[in-house]
Amino acid sequence: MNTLSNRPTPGPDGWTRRRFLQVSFTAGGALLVGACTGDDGGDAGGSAGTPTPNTGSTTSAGSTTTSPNSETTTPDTTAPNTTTPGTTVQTTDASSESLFAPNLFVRIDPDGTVTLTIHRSEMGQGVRTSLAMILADELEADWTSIQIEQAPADPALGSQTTSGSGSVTDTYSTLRNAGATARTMLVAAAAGRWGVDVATCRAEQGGVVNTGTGERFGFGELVAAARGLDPPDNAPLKEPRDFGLIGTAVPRVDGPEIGTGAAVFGLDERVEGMLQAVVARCPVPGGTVVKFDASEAKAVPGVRSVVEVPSGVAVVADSTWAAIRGRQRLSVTWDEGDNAQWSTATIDAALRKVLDARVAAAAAAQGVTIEARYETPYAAHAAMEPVNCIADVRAESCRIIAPTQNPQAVQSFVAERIGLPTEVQVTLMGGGFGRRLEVDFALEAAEVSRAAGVPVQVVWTREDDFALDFCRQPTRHWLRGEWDSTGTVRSWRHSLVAPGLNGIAYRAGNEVLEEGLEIPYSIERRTNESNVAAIPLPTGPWRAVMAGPNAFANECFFDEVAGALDRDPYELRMELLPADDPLRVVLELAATSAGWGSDMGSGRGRGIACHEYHGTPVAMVAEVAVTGTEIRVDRIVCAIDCGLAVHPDMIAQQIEGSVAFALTSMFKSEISYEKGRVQQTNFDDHLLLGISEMPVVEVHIVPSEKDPRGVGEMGVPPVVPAVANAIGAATGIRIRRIPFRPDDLTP
Amino acid sequence: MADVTVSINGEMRTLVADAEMPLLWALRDVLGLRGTKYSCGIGACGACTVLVDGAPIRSCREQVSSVGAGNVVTIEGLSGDGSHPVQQAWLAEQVAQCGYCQPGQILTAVALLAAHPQPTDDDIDAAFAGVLCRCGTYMRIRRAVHRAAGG
Repeated sequence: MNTLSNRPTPGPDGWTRRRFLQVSFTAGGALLVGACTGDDGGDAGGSAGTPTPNTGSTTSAGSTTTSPNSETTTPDTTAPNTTTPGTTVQTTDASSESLFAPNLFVRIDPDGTVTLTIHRSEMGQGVRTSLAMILADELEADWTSIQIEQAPADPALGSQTTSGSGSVTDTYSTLRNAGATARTMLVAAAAGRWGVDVATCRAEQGGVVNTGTGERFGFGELVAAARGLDPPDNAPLKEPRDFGLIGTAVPRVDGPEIGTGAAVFGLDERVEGMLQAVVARCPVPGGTVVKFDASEAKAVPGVRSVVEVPSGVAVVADSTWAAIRGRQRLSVTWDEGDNAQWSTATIDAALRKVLDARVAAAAAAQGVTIEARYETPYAAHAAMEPVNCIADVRAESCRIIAPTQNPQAVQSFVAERIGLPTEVQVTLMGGGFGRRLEVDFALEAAEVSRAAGVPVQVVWTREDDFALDFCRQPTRHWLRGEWDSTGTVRSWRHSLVAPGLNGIAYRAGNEVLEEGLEIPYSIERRTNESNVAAIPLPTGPWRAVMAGPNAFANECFFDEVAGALDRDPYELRMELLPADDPLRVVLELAATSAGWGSDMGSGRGRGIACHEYHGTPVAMVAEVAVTGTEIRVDRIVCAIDCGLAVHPDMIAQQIEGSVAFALTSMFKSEISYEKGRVQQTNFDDHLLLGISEMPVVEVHIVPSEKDPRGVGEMGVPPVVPAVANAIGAATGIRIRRIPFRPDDLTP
Repeated sequence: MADVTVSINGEMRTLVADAEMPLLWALRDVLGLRGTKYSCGIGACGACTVLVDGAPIRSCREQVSSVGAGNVVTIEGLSGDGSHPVQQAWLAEQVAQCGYCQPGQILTAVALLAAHPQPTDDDIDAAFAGVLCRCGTYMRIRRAVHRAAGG
């Protein structure tokens, strides 16, 4: 791994340097990763006095008034060498005086290096690639030689929260404008150098071409001239038909480094002088330390210190193994606190009590009805990279290096807790799924570093990760459908009970429960109500949040109503969806692609489900085979309308991944509690879907020219109901709870 | 604590480790080879897979002091430059999402193909049992294995 030189860039008052996690991508596919963290010796510091890059010059260094054929002289232009295509370009001149950086997202060096700043967290959904594509396409950069830079926490960038499947949707316009602005200025700079009209110049693949003469300037050669220009207010954007990258399945930029082990995840980061720590935490969330005995722990070779922090007792050592061994020798007496009263049985009873009351309070039905109850358990995130965080608390500043989906929240929470200005660097992460939106692990790491007086990496073992997750809430649903003698569905009622979000950065009540609660179907009287259950065990955003359980209940109960009316569930959906509902298109596409209606033979069945999450409609048809009480999911056919498909293959990946994610929650595992303790400890008692259980997944993307909408979570809500409906079709038995248990198929 | 000498990617390396230190932590924390990943520590997920004399071993369950004369190949040592046919197949099929589990998946594939140059889907299921991926890249892993096998 190369460590690239630190590139200090001053910011507003109070910041003297930024460090960037630099990733560079070359045409040869070798990916160089450098953490500008001081690995190369001490504080790779920037200087407070580095001048601000030129952003507001009033004189154009590239004058447009020179006569043709004369050489344009510009005061500070040198003639840098053109970059050889395909090579990695490293900036050796770290002086920001020579860069062209018209905005926070694009930076061009005189040697032609184009650096794109990515301000969302990469957790497998491909933002380092997709967001770079958007910038590079408008910029007309040479894709084979761009460098990607992960932005640290910086409110000047706008939001950096990677959640809600919003990265492409929410940054599309900003990034297009950023790329287009830079492109426009480079074209103007070139036109000035040639003394021609901008209309005769065209940006193309990392350079600007003079269409009259065929001459070309590489971007690097235009840096000095472009620096002297004022950024235009409304740079013209490309017509979508002119996109060269957007809409194509370019190889993921980090693929090569992943495949060689060079990719640096949070757990792989190192800083000078760093020690490793594991924290003994109360097995009951929220419990506190009464007393502890560290004498045996300290005797373990490699253990350097044992310090108490608000979340427990940290064992700090010179290796992860020593820290783990040290913690094994630690004895701690805990005050378990109030959460110790909660067990799955009492959780279940509390939820049922509220739901029973809501059922009793419901007005009596008029016509023919069916009703059913649905339930889901706590669900763990279980990303393959366990939670971890580096913190380096010094006398006057704090630095966090973390796999985080929420760097600005980390920055503000930690700065407030520690009372020091805090920088946050965002690393690559081995999955997020919402767990890394929370700030608990960063607060804890900062406390450990402060107490221990050294930079530390707090490592969570897999057991730690399960013991203190912020799980998806358990839910209890009661649904009732009512129809008249003509078979017209007249009313639909859905009562939901669940805890809210009980975290640090994420606390919410009814508003989170309501996500996905409403059905899209035209039924005369629809009554939805959500009830927040007062169960304070930690909960947090999980992929698709409450839309998963709500879609499970709604789309399964819809099939129950269809069954009672002896109607085909696909046809009834199409009948009851408004004429202009985008769900119609994806339902039809999924059903047609799956061959809906054809006979599947004995023991096999098809089920359909649909859900629109944050403006992206998705429909799925699942095919299952049932043998006794064993279920095999053979195929999932998915149709999605996410607007313009920025990267069609990544969309397919997200759907495939959502299927695996949802099937795990349906068939493999759950989180249960006993006396406040999570009962699941590792992948031997909390199973994940395995390769032999993965169905074939087919993804059909509806062609669209509308602006892109989200994808990352959108595949989750329809999976469980589509499969449950397929099981219903195959067996006549309704699945109303997850995870599925074999005796659910016993009639 | 004692001196342990192991062959890692063709190089003899000597390190000081306590007798029970897993090879995983020796690789990551002592030798600085962090391509091999920690995910569960109990041999249940395969993220820590390395090859020892060609066989896939869960390095979190293998004490560094037990490796003996075996030649350990980590993901870094597979080719040095990403040119191994399995690594190339992984790129051609765009397998990875987050990528955290992929070193273990790739080495599992290398070992499988050495034993079964034309693996069936059942062979793949067996070899990859307990090599977990939370991002759900399993379809592409399967395709990449077949591609690397020339199928």
